[in-house]
Amino acid sequence: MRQIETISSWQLASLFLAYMTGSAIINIPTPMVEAAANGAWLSLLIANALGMVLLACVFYIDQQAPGHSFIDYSEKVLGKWITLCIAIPLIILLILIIAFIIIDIGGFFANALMRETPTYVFHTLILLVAAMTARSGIEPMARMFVWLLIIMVVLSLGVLALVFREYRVEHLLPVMPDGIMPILLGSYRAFSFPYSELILFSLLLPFLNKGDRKPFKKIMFFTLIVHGLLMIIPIVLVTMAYGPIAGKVQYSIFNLSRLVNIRDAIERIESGIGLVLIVGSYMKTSIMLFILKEFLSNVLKLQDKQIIIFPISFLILLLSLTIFDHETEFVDAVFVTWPLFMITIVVLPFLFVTFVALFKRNGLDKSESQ
Amino acid sequence: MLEKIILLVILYMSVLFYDGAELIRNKQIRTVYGIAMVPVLYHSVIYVFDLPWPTLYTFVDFIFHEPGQQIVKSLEVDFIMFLVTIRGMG
Repeated sequence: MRQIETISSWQLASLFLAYMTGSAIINIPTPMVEAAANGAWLSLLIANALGMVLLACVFYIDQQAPGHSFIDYSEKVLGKWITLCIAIPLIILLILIIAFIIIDIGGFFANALMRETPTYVFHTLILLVAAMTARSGIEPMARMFVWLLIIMVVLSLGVLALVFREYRVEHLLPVMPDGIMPILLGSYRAFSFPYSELILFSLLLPFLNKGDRKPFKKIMFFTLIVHGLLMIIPIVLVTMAYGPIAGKVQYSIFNLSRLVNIRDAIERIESGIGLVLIVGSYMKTSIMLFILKEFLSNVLKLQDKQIIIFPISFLILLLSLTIFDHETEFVDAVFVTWPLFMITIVVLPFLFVTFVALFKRNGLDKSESQ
Repeated sequence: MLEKIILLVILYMSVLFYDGAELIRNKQIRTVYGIAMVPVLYHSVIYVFDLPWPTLYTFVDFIFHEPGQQIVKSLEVDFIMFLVTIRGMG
């Protein structure tokens, strides 16, 4: 029988950072600045704080049922049928979220790098690699993604540092010219992507090594702070570089990297940023596919969990090719429909399970004291 | 259309070739696999013939698009209008 894989707390934290930062480092700056203008960094801070609250809830449930996900805990306290009502929409959401990541990366290739190549080529190849990675298991993923994460962070921060001549600090002011509402809109966007997604990541907690549970919480909070910094730095730098038009420049970091020119020796390094997006999206797709595989096989009580990966990846590929006819429909879906869908299907049920856990605990405490 | 059919034939053959041995051996897996392939077939037809049939996302869009738009619009209101609304409600 196949042994249950476990990973250390640092490996899980690096997977968490890869999952959260993934495609967000490239995709987040433009929509955030578009919504909140100069106050985009403030929006991200608010969303990051909300992410901390969700992480605290994740740990609270983990404390109640160590080594179990919130779905397992929900089955224990709410019963099979209510849990099924939570789980089925979650499966649909996971399938769609992966399709969206694939559409995003395909759109990037088609718009910025290889305009003549049909998008199905990118969709198929990235899903094939991600499916094979997810099939190889969490341990190889954790080992490999540490290095990819380092490459991703060094490349993106390195490229941003090379454009230092373009930055104007005065572009950062005024911070809130239109009041608080744009900041809240920015927070709403950032909360739905990527912060509320950390609830889905909590489904991987059962894979944590039992001996590593103690320092794990601090490491995860620290990782979320690092993630917040990795998001804020590009947002601030893009605002400083582009000023009032920062919210209109698509793939702003990629376009910023085109400006790099140091004594005519270092130039045209935008492919480095392209690599960051590919690596980030690949890591996120792989982790999401792994979560979906685990989740689906638990719901269906499958003996062989790996077998479900290819048909599901195939479905995701076809969805990514058929859902939207135009890019504008995709943008509308991501900024209008998706945040509410995410909050309704993921955040609210999760908070409900947390409250149930809280009341159960209080009830138990009272009965013990009597 | 021919390009799409060729792509799908390659993908179907690869998937079945990779998982074939396991499918022959285990009945439970065969059943689950078969069920999982139903939506794949449905979306294949949509993809090949460019049909305007509903997909998995259509349902989500139908329920969440309108309220989502209202939330976004309410957050796009400028701050003075927001204050006026709040005072009006008071």
